[in-house]
Amino acid sequence: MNQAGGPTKISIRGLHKAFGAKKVLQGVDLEVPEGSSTVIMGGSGAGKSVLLKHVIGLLRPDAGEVLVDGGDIGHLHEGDLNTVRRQFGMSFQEGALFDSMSVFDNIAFPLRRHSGLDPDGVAERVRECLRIVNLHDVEGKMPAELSGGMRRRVGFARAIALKPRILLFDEPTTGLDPVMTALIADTIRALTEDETVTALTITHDLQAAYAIADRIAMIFQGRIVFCGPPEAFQTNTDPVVEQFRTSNPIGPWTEAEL
Amino acid sequence: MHRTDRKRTVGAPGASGEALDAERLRCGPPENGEVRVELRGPWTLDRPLPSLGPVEAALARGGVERLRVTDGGLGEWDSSVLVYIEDIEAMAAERGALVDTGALPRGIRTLLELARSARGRPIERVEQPRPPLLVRVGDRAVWAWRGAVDGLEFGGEVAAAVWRFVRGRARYRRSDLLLAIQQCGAGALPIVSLLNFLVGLILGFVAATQLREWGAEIFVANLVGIGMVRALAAVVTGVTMAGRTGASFAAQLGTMQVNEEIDALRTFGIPPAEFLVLPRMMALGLMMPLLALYAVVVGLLGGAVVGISLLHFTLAEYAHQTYRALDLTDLGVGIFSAAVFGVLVALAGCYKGLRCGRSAAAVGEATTSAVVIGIVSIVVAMAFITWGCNILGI
Ligand SMILES: Nc1ncnc2c1ncn2[C@@H]1O[C@H](COP(=O)(O)OP(=O)(O)O)[C@@H](O)[C@H]1O
Ligand SMILES: [Mg+2]
Repeated sequence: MNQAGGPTKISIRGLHKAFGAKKVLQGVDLEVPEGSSTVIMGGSGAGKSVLLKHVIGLLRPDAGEVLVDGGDIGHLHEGDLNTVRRQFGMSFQEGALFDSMSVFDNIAFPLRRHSGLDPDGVAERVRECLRIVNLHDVEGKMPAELSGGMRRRVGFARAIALKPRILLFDEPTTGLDPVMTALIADTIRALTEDETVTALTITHDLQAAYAIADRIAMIFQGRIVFCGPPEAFQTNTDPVVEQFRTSNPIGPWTEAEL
Repeated sequence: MHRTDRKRTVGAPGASGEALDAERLRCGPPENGEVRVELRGPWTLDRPLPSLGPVEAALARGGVERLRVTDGGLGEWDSSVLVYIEDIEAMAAERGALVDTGALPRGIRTLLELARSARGRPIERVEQPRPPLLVRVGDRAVWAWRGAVDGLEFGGEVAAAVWRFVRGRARYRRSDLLLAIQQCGAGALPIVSLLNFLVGLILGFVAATQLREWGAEIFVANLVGIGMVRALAAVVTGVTMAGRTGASFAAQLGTMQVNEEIDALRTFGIPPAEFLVLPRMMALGLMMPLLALYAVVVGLLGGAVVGISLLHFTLAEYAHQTYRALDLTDLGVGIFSAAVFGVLVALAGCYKGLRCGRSAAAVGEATTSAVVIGIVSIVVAMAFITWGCNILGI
């Protein structure tokens, strides 16, 4: 079993990010041990996606640092960043498929660029990835022909194609039916069985979160207000955590909106 | 059917309207300086409001200190009542009379209070005080500086991409390049033909009317020839391509930005400048000279039409004069300008697309400003090229 005891893989310290006057992250601190599976939860617009994009260097911090294997991602030159990104796989909230390419080409894209596999090897891996997310007969389709849930799963397949060491999943289960949600959760769990694979997943689905997570982190008002194993999450009495867990319409989340 | 009926009531406040008024509004005679205004029947927004006439008349009689608005059997009501009472209050205030609404149903009273309290408070406008001049200048300067740095960064990324291309190591899809070439090549021919033909024609016509005065009609060929070949064919084609292809590049890349496709690309370690900008820039940089060459031919034809039909030269005469007027450097300058314009238009489109915000509206804005920047940079580049040629004596 993965325990949250490995060496630190990703370390986020005092991360601040604002867009114009809107302060999204206001001092996020999070340590992610190697081989762990961390789930990030929080309301819509809490800044989960923004946080994830900092981890892979798509956004630059205003202040604070993001260390991956001890190296600061936030201030790397774009060229070096591209090298660091080889060990990452990321799936996006809406799939972010390349609209001008077929499903097959989308998943083959990272393989052709970086895997060194021959065309047969690429094709085989593409099919394998599609099987993992339980999609059949879609290889030749264009992204526009797929439903939102299918696109998200293709995005997921594309993210894991290169068997990266660090996996970032932005809401991979949103909009999926319960069976597919369980399947994706199981897949993430299985991927992180490997001691060297670290995963950060965003989800709103408590069931999926319990299935995926070694640790659950909750982001609220730009900070991490809770981080601990699912058991601790289930018994935590912090009103922020409690409201979220019990789907209560009244509490700090809804007050914060006002 | 129902709808038209209702319209008629609204549209014609004639006899039936007044009858309706009397049903819904009763305004008693003044008693001890007090006038009773009774509201009755249904008061909903889909009916015309009764005229304020009777109330006004009562007030005008003078000696009225107080208007008592009461419920004389109100039916269904909505905010139209509030609007009406507010009107009464305004009118009463003008005459120094008070309005007593204490006898109205509770719901109406609460809403009136709410409306009054909101009115007492000045509506908070988002409009902020204009910051002092120095601050504004500073803001503009910072903004301009950031823009310049960002533009330079983009330029650097593109330069790096070009360098990788030169070394044969650029990562882009051949199919993207071919698609872009197709987009800015054959598809643009009709509009490029039309515009350049007309420009040649106009140029010829203007030149003809002027030169005829001096008996120098034959120089129309020189003017149209040099004008089109050195500058106008390239500029007109460039502007056309800014509106056509530059805009479409901005829209394509902007949409990719909105879909997070650009982010996805970067997570695979592929710089967008290489994968997306390079093929588009090359396509337009290659196709613009060809288009300009074609545009020159069409433009000269436009001039020839004037020369032949208006000035009665033969085609051979006109062609010969054109041929004598031009040399290869003129053509070289024109072709070179066209290539530069092509690259600039492509860069403007791609830059605006890549820096696009995350909404459909932002894609629209990116497209518009890509066209504007494209055209402005064409004109500025033209000025520089002309100046450079002047210095070099070509
Ligand atoms: N590129 C951006 N530019 C401006 N604002 C952004 C950008 N990305 C995110 N935001 C803002 O940051 C906030 C958090 O967004 P996000 O991280 O996507 O929320 P979520 O937790 O639902 O994933 C939102 O208010 C969003 O509008
Ligand atoms: Mg999100």
